[in-house]
Amino acid sequence: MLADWVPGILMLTLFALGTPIAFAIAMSALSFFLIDGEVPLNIFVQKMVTATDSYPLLAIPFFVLAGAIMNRAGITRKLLALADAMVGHMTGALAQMCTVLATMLGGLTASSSADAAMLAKVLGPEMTRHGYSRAFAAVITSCSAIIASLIPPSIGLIIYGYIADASIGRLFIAGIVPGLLIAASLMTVTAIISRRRGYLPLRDRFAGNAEVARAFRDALWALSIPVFIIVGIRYGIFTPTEAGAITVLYVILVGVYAYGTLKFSDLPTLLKETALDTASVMMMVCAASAFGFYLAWERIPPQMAAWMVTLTRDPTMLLLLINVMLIVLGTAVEGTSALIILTPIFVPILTKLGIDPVHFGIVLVTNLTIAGVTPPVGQMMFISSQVLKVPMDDYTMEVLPFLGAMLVVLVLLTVFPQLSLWLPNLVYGK
Amino acid sequence: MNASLPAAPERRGFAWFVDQFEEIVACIAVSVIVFSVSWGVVTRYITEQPAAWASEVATLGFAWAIYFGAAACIKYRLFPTIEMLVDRFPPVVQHAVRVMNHVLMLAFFAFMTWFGVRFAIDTWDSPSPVLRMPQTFLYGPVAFCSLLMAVRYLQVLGGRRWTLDENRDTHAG
Repeated sequence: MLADWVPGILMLTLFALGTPIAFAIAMSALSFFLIDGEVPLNIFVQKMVTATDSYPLLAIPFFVLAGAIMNRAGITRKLLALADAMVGHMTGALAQMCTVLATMLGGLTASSSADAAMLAKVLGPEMTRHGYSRAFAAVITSCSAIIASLIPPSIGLIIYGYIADASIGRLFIAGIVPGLLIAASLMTVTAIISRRRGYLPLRDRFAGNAEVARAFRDALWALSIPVFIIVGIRYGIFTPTEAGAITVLYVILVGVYAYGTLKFSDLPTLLKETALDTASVMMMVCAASAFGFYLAWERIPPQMAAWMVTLTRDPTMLLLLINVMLIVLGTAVEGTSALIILTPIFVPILTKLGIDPVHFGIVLVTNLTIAGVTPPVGQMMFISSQVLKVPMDDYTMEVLPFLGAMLVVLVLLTVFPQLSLWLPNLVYGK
Repeated sequence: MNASLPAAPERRGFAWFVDQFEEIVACIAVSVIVFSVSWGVVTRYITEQPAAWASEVATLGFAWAIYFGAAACIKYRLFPTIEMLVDRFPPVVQHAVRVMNHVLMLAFFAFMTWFGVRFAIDTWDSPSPVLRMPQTFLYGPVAFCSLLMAVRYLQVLGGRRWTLDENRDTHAG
């Protein structure tokens, strides 16, 4: 019986001992095949390749590449001008612009980590120059980046949809309201802190509708992308994967011809960065595919389900309990790997209790992305802190109010499934 | 792995090709994926005969992009790790743990290479659904890239250093 749990225990041990996460998962899965002896080792190799044969996951390199092209083409600056026109008159203007920019970028970049890097590089130095504390700048840039994991397209939602066998189109639309709620919560906390510390507006008064309209028109090529993706998927013009490929071609054309800021000679570098980032995420997915075989073979999810329903049979309570567990786990384990490992365990349990997999996907992705800003292990925290040279202790103190606000949103998303499901039900029907 | 070594001198010509081989293949693979999926959409709406090969080529390209990209990730040390606990160990224990990790990684690459080769040979007679290409084209690169990962891992352990632009546009995850 204990032998059934060896791969799981081995995986956690290897995580703790600093083995690269993708290979820790793969080695643990391999240990199952070696210990069990009944399952041919060929299946392990086959499972390590299965995920690469997935058409839905092809969307990952497309959206990573599209985001990189948009950034190289200088779209971020145009969106920043729009954010300035919209909220430049507010107290703590640069921090508010950061959240507004992150919300708009979320529709382009698909990756919270990419957003954290971009925001920290673009707005971080500007904030410190205007008297914001470095730690505050690191915190707001990393927390705002969380929005990218919810506003479509989102790598986390694509991976979840693939593993949970849930509609990626529905997940994309379901992320919009939660993404906006996170943005609102961050802007509220920013306003309170900025007022106390005297972080100033950039303008005396609101820029005016004419300037907002002008900035909006300049950024329209970029802002139309999420709309184009959602409409295309909803009306069956293309699948999410095809939407990704078309988006890549679209942003190349926009960058080269509409904005004239992208050169074809930029593409090899962007392709290389895309290949590297896709590989580092996808190796985890490949390893998780082999690990998933072990979970299914040993019937771990049903065993976990039996144990969990002894705690409570109330779906909402169970979701809240899972949230608490994920928050604790998220302080130590990187979000994407936790998403890949936990989705096949939790989804069968929760679906059986009547929880919509799209709702759970939003809760899970939100929770694990928030984990990206919780010390001591958090990818966005690392990125922003590294760019702005902020010690972890200072970051930890500054992040607490923002963390509190986002956890309130997480509880609301957990308790009220309508917040996630209302929009996809409206667009797709129930 | 030693991150404090000075960057290696820039290479040119064939030396550059060998040095950047996996990145070159991965970039071509990503380009092929973009083209074939887009072509699939275009032909579906423009021609009466949608390109059935497009999705097969795309998924094959995806496998190549991932495994060649993974070999490149070893060079740039891009695979995430959790060092929190190890950093708190005494130096001797830290060293022992790191040696253990190196041995495990190299053993894993050796396993994947060996079984990848066997699988690639075994699947020579099983063709893909549309293009009727042997599945060896899928499993062969896995074996080759596992070997390449081992080589790159040893090069990094030996002090060879590859660096990425700190201002790069992507950070997936």
